[in-house]
Amino acid sequence: MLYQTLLNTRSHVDFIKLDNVSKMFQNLTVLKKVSMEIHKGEFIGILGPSGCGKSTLLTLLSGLEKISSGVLHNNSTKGKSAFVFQDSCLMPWKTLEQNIAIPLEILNLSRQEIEEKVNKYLKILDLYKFRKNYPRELSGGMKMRASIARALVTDPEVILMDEPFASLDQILRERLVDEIYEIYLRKNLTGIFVTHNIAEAVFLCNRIYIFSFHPGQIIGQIQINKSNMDMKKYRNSDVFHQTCVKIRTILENSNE
Amino acid sequence: MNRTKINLTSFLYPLLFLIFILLFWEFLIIYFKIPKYFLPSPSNVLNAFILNIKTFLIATLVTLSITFLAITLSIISGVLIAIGVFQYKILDKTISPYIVILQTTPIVSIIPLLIIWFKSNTFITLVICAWIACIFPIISNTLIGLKSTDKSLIKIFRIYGASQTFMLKKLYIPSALPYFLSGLKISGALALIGGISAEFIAGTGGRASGIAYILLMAGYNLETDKLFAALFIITVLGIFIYSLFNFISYLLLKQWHDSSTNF
Ligand SMILES: Nc1ncnc2c1ncn2[C@@H]1O[C@H](COP(=O)(O)OP(=O)(O)OP(=O)(O)O)[C@@H](O)[C@H]1O
Ligand SMILES: [Mg+2]
Repeated sequence: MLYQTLLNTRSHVDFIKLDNVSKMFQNLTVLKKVSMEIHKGEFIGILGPSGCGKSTLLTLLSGLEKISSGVLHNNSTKGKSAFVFQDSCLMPWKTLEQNIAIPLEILNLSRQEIEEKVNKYLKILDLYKFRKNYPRELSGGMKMRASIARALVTDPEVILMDEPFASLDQILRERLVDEIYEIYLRKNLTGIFVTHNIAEAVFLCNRIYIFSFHPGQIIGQIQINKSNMDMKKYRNSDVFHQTCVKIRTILENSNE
Repeated sequence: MNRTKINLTSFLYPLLFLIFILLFWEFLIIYFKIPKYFLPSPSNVLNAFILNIKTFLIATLVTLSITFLAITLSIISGVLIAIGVFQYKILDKTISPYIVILQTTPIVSIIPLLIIWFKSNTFITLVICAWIACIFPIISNTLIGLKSTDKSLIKIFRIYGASQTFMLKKLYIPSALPYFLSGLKISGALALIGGISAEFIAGTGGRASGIAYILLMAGYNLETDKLFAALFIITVLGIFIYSLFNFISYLLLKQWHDSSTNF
């Protein structure tokens, strides 16, 4: 299968590495001695209770916020990371295509290049018909797609997702998860995926870090081996369910 | 279609109410033989209005130009101050207390001082008063707007390395637009109030007197019908200015902001 070959050819060199990274806001330790390795082409899940510092971790990985102590190596190319947030956070005063074009404008691409790439992603995410519409004229699902298109339009190496589907209904979530997964496989993407939804993480990710609350620390790491499985079968497989249960147990125990 | 229906009745009912009040008023004056200097009838007021139409027109133009000059000045200066305070922490710390002082000092109390300074030119005095009166909502609303820019959008702009100027132009200022416009609506009303109260105190020599001066003079001369006519014009001016800014803000926000739909 195509998926399989792609997964196997991905090189497993150190890409992003955190060594005892801590983050404090004033006196509050939000993340404590976090160590993790993210290889190129991996899809990493971050699970943990609300307020444990998941969003903070993404901000650190994006380089927008400085770490308080420890070492953070990030070998991804500058300007080649992208964010997707829970709300689509499109600019209401711009049309869909203008919204999707904004990263390229910031990166100073030519008009023609911008138009080409924007059109390409409008088509991939099934939004081409609505390119002249303003966000308020669109449904939540379409806005979320536009937000994903905006993240992908720069052909990023790393995509940082902060509960990207939390505000959507179940069916839509599953469809978008499928789409994201497919794009992930086609591009040489590295994904870091923050979520509260265990099943979503188990479906998308090949490795999951589980965080505890206060201070945010890694309390578990789960490797998922699904490379030889069809994704539809995988969703209904025993491995899938067992992994979900395993993660739930870790999370539940951490609360006691 | 439903909307136009609602708009029609919401326009018609107040109008019918007004006609009823005016007729009742006219009737009371005739019935109780109330003297004109004490309370003129609507027809007296209309008469005074027609007789003095030219004076009123000129005065209205003067008042309008004071108001609009003041608003223009406060848009330019207010937005610049808001952006400056937003961009530079030092400016924020240095200026902010004075902006609050400006807001809490009643402008009426500055007028005598301005009259001393601009004695030769009452027009400038009036414009400055109206300007001081209406600048605060522009500054504070624009600043709130700039500061409430979506935090996630800021992160998205910054992850691609957008410069501060680019973000100001493409993100912060457009985000602040709805806030600025609602400040502008308040400012419009305040500019009129500011200009008129200043005219009450400053008065106007020469020909270029505004509507408030006419109102004041009519009061001194017990021309109560003329006073009512002037009062009516001021009310209409207020409504006009408010509707104008409401309309401008509707035009600017119509595709994207929810609050503009119930214009
Ligand atoms: N800029 C900041 N200044 C001060 N405290 C902050 C800042 N950002 C986050 N925090 C604090 O850090 C803690 C972790 O926040 P964070 O948003 O990373 O949690 P989270 O795991 O993403 O939570 P959720 O699942 O609810 O999104 C919170 O207690 C929050 O108040
Ligand atoms: Mg969060």
